[in-house]
Amino acid sequence: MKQFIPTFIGICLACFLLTFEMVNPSSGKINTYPNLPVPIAMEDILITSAGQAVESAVLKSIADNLNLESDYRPRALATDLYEYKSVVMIVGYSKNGLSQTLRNVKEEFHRAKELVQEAEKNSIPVILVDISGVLREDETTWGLLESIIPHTTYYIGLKNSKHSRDLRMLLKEHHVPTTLVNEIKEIEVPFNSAYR
Amino acid sequence: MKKNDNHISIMIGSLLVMLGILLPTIVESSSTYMIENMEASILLRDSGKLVIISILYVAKYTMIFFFIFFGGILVIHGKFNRNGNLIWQLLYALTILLILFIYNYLHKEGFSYIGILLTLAILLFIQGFIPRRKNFYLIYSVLLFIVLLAMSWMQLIPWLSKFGIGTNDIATSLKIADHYLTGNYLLNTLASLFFILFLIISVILTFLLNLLNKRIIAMEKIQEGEQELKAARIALVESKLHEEINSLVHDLKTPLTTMEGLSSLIKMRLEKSGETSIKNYLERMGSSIQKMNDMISEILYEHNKQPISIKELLEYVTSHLILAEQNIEIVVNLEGNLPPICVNKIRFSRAISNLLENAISSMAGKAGSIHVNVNRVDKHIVFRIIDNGQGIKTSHLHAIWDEGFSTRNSSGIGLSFVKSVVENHHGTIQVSSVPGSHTQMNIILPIHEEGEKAYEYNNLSR
Repeated sequence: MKQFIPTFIGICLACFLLTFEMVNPSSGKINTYPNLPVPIAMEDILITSAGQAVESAVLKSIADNLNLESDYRPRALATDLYEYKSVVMIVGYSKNGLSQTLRNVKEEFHRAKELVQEAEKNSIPVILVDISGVLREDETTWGLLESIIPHTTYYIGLKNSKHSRDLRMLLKEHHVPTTLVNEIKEIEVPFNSAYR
Repeated sequence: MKKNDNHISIMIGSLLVMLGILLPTIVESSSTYMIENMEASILLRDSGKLVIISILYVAKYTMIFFFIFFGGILVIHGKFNRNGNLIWQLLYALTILLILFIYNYLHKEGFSYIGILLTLAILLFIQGFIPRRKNFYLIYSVLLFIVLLAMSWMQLIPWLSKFGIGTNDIATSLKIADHYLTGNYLLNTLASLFFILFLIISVILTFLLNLLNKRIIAMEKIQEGEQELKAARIALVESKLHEEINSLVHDLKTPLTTMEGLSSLIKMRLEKSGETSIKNYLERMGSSIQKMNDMISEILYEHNKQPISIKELLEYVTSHLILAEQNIEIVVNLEGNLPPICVNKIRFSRAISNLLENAISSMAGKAGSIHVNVNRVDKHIVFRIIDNGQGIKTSHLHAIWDEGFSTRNSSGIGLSFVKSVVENHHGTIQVSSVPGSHTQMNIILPIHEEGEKAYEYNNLSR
């Protein structure tokens, strides 16, 4: 039986780490919208990414499904904004996604920040979408959220999130209308409400 | 395990670990392929592409972790040379955790330690059942591969994400894409299925290996027992045979004694009648009977020795040798003024004959030569028997003296008999051989000084 002690230790350690990984359901209270009462944005839409996670393409797919005029340019710069009337930014840091570009994390932060600042300056609404939920809760993604939320017009995210308490506090602080959904597909309704 | 093997093990292990750590950089194009196809899969709403990406993901990370886990075991095995005990297992686990910490730090892929710990726990559990035999690494690598396949699929199971499993970048992207396209139905089914399948295969394989190992051990024990029994039987038969031969040879002495007595009686009678020619014949007959009596005594009593000139001994040996139409030349070189040696003539001759017969056999029917050189070196006589036959393999040089060892399906008692005879004469025997070139047997016998006790048990023969 002595030979199984390391196995037992390994399982115990895994269980111990599990308690930290489990999502804490308690979160800060925030008033959310099931969808916006009036449209806040117009087409043409620039769909871009903050963090280069591949799931940014999901919003392009949803936009196409809703027949919204949009361009999917995950690496768009602030200078590209002149031809669009709204910005949809999908947040989520992907190491592999970023390695496809010639930028590093710092430059990606700078690009995203500059883009939303330029949009704010030109009164172009910014819709921030986070569909990674519990799966991307690294410091880089959280940093991106922190830097973009102050310039955001509308936030759509998932209910299930480890940082949800901090996130809700941040959204509340910046008076960002928020919609939280259970499933990615449920984004279609609030997203549509922002335009129609 | 030898020191050299340990160094090789550490070196190969370190190389594998390095390869595992650097592999994501080497095969970066695979990540590009996966990311591009995932994007295409979302935009085209084609979940089929996700299946291909999942398989590619599993292949890539199984390979990376295989190098790390297998390299780790080689390093620990080489460094500490202790396989299977508690400290060894803990060291292995710590090494793997350290390597994967470095991997996570370098590549920032965010592999969760829960998955790593569970993989380690399964591997350490399985290791306890892998027999520590010569095929350990092969068996371990097969099991490791299957376990890693299972664990890589486990990383892709979406419903395990809430437990912190499958948090690395590509697995996360895959799960999100799958969530959008199929509501995680595809990966929950596919990944869970493969995870369970490979896990069951690894468990069954481990169970079968353990069963097989127990069988092999039991069979080895039975074989050992059988061999011991066989050896005991042979020893018993040999001892009985030896006893029989001894008593038969001893029985020969009785009629010889009668013949000796009667010839003496006839000689006495003839002396009285003055017949001389028949008396001569009788004297020669008596001398032959005496010689035969001595020979029988030497066969019966191995300590019975007598001084004999080396020339006479070698003539006696070579005259009894059967060369059977082989083109073999026997060259005998004796140093001048060699003193006589004190040996049991029959046994020592048989020993030299055995060596010469072996030399002849080593020619394998081809022509060759055997040199028998005898020299005096200090207080010893050295017999050198050199043949240019096939030689003896270096690995067999020690085993040839063992009773029963033979490469020619013979009884295998020839050389052990030679050794025992030489040692019984307070001598030593050495062998040197170059396979395919020659074999040299050296018998070194001490020279008995004059006055030294040379006849041992001589009285017993009379």
